[in-house]
Amino acid sequence: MKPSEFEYHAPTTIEEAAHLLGTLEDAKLLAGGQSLMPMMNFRYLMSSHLIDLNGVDALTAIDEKNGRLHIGAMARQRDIELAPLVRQRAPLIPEAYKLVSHKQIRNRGTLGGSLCQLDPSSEQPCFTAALDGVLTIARYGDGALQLRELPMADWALMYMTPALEEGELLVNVSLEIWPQGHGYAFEEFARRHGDYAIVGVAALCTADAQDRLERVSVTVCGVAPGPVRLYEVEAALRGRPMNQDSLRLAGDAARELDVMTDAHVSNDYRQHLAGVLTERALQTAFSRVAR
Amino acid sequence: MAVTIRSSFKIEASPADVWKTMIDIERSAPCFPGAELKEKQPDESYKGAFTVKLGPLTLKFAGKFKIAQQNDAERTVVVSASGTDTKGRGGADAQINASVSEDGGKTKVDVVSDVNLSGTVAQYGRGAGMIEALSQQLLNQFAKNLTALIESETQAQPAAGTASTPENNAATQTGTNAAGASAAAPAPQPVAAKRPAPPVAPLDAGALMRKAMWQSIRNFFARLFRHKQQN
Amino acid sequence: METRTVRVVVNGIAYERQVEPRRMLGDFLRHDLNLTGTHYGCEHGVCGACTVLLEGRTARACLTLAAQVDNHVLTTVEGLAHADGTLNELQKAFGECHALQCGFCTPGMLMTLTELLSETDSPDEAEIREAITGNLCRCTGYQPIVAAALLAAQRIRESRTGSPAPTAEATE
Repeated sequence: MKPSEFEYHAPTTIEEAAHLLGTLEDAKLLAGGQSLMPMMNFRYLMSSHLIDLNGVDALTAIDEKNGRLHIGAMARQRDIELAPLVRQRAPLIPEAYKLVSHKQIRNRGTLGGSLCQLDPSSEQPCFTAALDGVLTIARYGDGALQLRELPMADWALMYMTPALEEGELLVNVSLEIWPQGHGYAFEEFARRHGDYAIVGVAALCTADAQDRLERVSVTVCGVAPGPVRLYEVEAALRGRPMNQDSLRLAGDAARELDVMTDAHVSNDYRQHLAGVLTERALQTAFSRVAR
Repeated sequence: MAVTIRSSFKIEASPADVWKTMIDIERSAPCFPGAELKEKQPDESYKGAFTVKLGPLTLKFAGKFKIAQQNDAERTVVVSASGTDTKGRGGADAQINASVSEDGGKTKVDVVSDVNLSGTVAQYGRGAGMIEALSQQLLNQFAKNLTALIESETQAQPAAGTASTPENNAATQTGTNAAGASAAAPAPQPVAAKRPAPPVAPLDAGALMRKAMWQSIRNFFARLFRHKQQN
Repeated sequence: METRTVRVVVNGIAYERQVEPRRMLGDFLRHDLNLTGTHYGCEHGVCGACTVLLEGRTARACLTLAAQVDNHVLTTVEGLAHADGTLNELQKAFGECHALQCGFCTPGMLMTLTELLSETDSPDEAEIREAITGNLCRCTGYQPIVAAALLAAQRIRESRTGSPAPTAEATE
C-alpha cells in the first residue's frame, strides 16, 4: 500500500512544468492527488517521475476575462466552490460541488485534475460541458510555451482518456457566463452522498417574458466516456413553455441515450435515471429563473 | 472479469489476400497496435508482448499466443492468447474467433473475442464498456495497418521474394522495442515504387482516436434523437 | 534514492527531516515525527481516519506526499489539547457524549469537526452530518459524534459571549 519509487520534481512556473513533462520519460503530473495517489498507493499506477504542480501559482487563478469565467487548472475545487465570482457568474458550479465527494477531497482536488482524470461519472466534466467550456492546453516546444485551445465537446476521446498529446498539460478552463438570473440545476443519483454520480444532469435555461424557454443547456454524465450535451433537445425546447410535454420530450431523449453498463447498474436503469433526472433538472432550473 | 466482444472491420482487398496475410502471424501481428512479436516456440506458439494505454494506466502484457484452429476453406481462425501484466497488476486471457468473408467486392472480418481479465486490472477497470470501446479502436487500427500492408504487398514486384520491406515497416509500428521484430529481417530489397506510409505506432489508445471518431459517436446520438423527435 | 528535505511546522513545532519522494505524509507523521495520533484506515482517501489540517484545511495524509508539506503548517490531533494537556471543548464533548469507542476514527473526526467549527460557530445537525460524510466510523453509529459536536459548538459560543472563561483556546 505504498507507492513505488519515483523522482519528484517541483516546478514553480508553467514553462518549467511543461518543459519537464516534455523531456522526462514516464512522468505523471501531480495535481490535487486525490485520484492519482490512490492509484499509486495501490501500485496500480507506477511512474518514474512525478511533476508536482502544486507550486505553480500561475495555474490557480479564478477570474473573469472577455465575458468568460477563467479557472486555472490547479484551482482547488473548494476555492472554486466558495469564490464569490463563481457564485455570481456560474451558480451551477457551487450547486454541482455540493455533490462532489467530501470537503477534505475538495480542499486538495483541482478542476484540472478532474477534467484530466475524466471519470465518466464525474460532475466536473459535466458542468464544464454544460457551460461550453474551452480548455487551454500547453506544451513546451521550440524553446517556448505553446498553447492551444480545445472545446470541451472534443475533450473526451475515450474512457478516461482526454485529448492530451504526449507532453501536454491542461492549464486553464474558460466557461460561458449566462445572463444574470438564469435558471440552473444539477441533479444526480448516487448510492451515498459524495459518491460519483451513477447518472447526473446539469441544466441551464433562460425564459422570455411569456415564460417560454429561450436558451437551454442539458448535459448528462455517467452514461458515456464524456459528458453528453443533448443539443437536439436544447434546440427543440426553444420557445416552448415548461409543461409536461416539454419535459417528456427531454426525458424521452435522455432515455434513448446509448448508455454504458457496468458492475453497478444495468443499461435500462441508467437510461431510466437519465430520463428522470433530466426532467427534474429542467424543472428545477426553470423554477430558478429570476422573474 | 469475463467479457465477450463482438466487432468487425472492413478491408479494401480481396478475401484471399486478407486471409493469406492475416494467418501469416509474423506479418500480421505487428499490425496490431502495441503488439510485439518475439520468438516462435517449438509448439508453433509465439511469445509476445502487448502494450496498451487504458486511461491513466499503461499496461504491458507479456505472454504467448497461437493459432488454435485454422480452417483455410472457410477462412476462419481461432487465436488463443494469454499474458500477465509485467508489473503484476493482473492478467488477460483471450480466445479470438475471426472469420473473413466477402462483402461487396471488399472483405469483411468478423471478430468475436472472449476476454477474461484477472487481478487488479479486472477490479479497477471501468467494466465491459471500456474494454469493448478499447478493443474496437484497436481492431480499427489493426484493419488500417493490415490494409496498408496488403496494399504494399500487392504493389510489390513478384521478384521481391521475402517482402522484407513491409516487414520492416510493420516492425516500426510496434513503437516500443521495434528492434525486437525487425532484428531478424534481412536487408530490405528495392521493391515497389509505392511504399506504404509507416502506420502510426500507437501504444496510446487515445492517440488512435481522432476527432472523426468522437464525431461519429455524436452523430450516433444525433440519429437517435431524430427517431424520437416528438411534436 | 535521492531524498528531499522537508521543513514543516506541526502543532507549532518546527521539524526538519530527509524523506524519500514517495514518503506519504501519514507515514512521515507517524514514523519520522513519532506523532502516531494520525491513523491509516484505507490508504486511498475514503475512510478519513488520516485527516489532518494543512494550512487550516482538512486533507488526507494518505494522499499527500511528505515532500509536499515542505514550508507548510500542519495541525494534527496531538495539537488540539491545551499546552497543559487539558482537552479542548471538542475533545471533552467527545468524551462526555461517548463519541468514541475504539477511537480509531476519532483523530480524523476531530480534525474534520475542528475545521467545521472554524468555519461556523453554530452548525446545525445537518451541517455536522454533512461535514463528517468523509469520515467513517464503525463503532458509534455517528449519533454521539453529532451530539458531541453540537455540545462543543454550544459551549464554545457560550464561552465567547461574556463569560470570564478564556476564549483563546476555544477552537484549537
